[in-house]
Amino acid sequence: MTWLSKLTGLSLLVMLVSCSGDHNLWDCWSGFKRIKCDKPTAEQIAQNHLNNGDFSAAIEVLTPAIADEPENYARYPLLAAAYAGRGGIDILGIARKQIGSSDSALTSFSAFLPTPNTVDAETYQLDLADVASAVATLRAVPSNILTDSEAFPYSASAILELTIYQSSYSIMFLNQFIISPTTGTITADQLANMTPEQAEQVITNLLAVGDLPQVSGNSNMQSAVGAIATTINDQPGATTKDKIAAYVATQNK
Amino acid sequence: MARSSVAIALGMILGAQAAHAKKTVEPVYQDPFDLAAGGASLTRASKEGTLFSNPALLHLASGFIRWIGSSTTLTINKESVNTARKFLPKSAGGSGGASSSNSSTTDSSTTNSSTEIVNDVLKNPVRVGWGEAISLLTRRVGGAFFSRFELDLGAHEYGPAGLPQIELQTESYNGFALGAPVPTPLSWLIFGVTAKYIMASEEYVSADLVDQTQVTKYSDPKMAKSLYSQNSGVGLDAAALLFFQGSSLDLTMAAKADDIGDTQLSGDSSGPKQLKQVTSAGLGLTLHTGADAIHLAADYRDIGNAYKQPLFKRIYAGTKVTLRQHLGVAAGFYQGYPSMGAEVDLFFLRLALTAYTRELGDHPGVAPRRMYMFSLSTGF
Repeated sequence: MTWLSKLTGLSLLVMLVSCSGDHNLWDCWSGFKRIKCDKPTAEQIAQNHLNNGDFSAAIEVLTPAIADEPENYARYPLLAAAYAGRGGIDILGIARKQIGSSDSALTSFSAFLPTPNTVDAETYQLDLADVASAVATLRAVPSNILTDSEAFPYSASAILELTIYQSSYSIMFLNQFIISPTTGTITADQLANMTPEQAEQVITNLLAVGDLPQVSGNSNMQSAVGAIATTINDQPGATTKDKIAAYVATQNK
Repeated sequence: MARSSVAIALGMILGAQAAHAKKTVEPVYQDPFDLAAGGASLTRASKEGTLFSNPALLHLASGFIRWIGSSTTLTINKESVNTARKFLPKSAGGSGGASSSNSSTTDSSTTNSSTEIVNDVLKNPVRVGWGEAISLLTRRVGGAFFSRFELDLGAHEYGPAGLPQIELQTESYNGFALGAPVPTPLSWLIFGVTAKYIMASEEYVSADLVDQTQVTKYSDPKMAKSLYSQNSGVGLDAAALLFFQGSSLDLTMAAKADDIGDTQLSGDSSGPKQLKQVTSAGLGLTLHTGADAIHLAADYRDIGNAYKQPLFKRIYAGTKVTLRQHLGVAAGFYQGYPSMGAEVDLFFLRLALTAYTRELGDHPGVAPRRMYMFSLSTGF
């Protein structure tokens, strides 16, 4: 083969290869194996998994990455989002409802959480645990970092995210005792299973939302969730559990 | 819901934050056929692309006038085409379900359709652009007015902060370039210079969709100024071309310095304020007969990595095949992604179609935009 025919062949080869797909030559998974690939960061890989709905894969990427570099706080909001997504929180639904509706923030996003009637009891508890992990992940960011927009570029978003997940957790925790798994309606029947400690936990969870720092966009949620705690506390009853029962009765009217 | 999303988009168009530099190692204006060949244009460029890629190439024109005319390009990304196809009205000969439905069904289907559109827009980026160049290129000197604008609207269910995020990016480059080859006593060595006046703007805005107040703040009309205002400045490029011509094979080597001494831009736009000096090298091989040719070319841009770009964004390579000087096909690797295209020269009319992928992220696969570019040129 002469060098002229080699040149022609090379030209044709370039054409054939370039027509064979849309993968980048430097891609680590589908690129050209003989060159040193260019791997996206853990955050970018995780974000890709999140947007593909593969929340467990995102958790698998981010958990060791955070363990390796615990002070890379940019990863925490993504890990929290992965836990929340796996826990059944429809963040896009919350966002769209927030934008397109004049409803209260609570009404807007409570429709996008798992409820005892939409999943079985075991799954509901797993979802609740995942949402709790989402809250814990963001709370692991030191408060002085979380509120410092210079040290942490995502500080406002992370606080807003924490408000959503803390609110979601509070409502999901309450819903397991007041929503019928069969009918989906609010009922006092489930309250028989609630311990006094769990009743106190309901109030603690709700009040925790109001204790978060205020940032752009979270005040409506804080007010709405705080109002639930206030309404429960204003109900007649000797114990918190009694007050919750009275609150449930008002919701059924 | 769709109206809300449009309002967000419009609101964001009015807002601006610090720009993320997008034009880095590439010329400010590129010919579609050069893009199809992987963007490797230092040793072989088409039409007005010559001025921006390597002005020394003007000297290789076969006649005195190399090109006089205008070129218009339209670009759109693949996802936008797919979305448009999906929501285009069905033909009248279809099932006719909508026409036979009652009003509540129609309302419901309209709502579902709107929701579907919003979901599609949220999951698929939209990138559109246009370009225009009017140029006169001769063997001695060339000049071109150029203008290009690209708008990119992307949304993620999970943005970098874990919340739904919408991003708007614009890229606008306009101006005038005047270039000339500088022949030397050595027939195989040609220098070239291009002086350019550039008006540029690159804007980037983003907002968390959950936060209504963050979205609303972008509706301040005063913030619109930063979108349409541009920075301007004068820059200079210099190039050298080594051209060894054989009976059937030509070898071309090029060295180029863009924006010598860093081109300073001033104005009200948030960016760019400076185009950094970039040195690049290119190698080309051309196998030819009298009328047909096969070009192979590779560029290594920004050798000193002034822009701190990853390697895949600095290597461009590809091939062009021209037949009877009226038909051309090209393919290559642009930023590591396959590119391809074709061009037809109908004497006073040139049509070109190019498909290429541009990576907006800093790693392959982070934010690729699969682009289609259509170009119509009139001239000779």
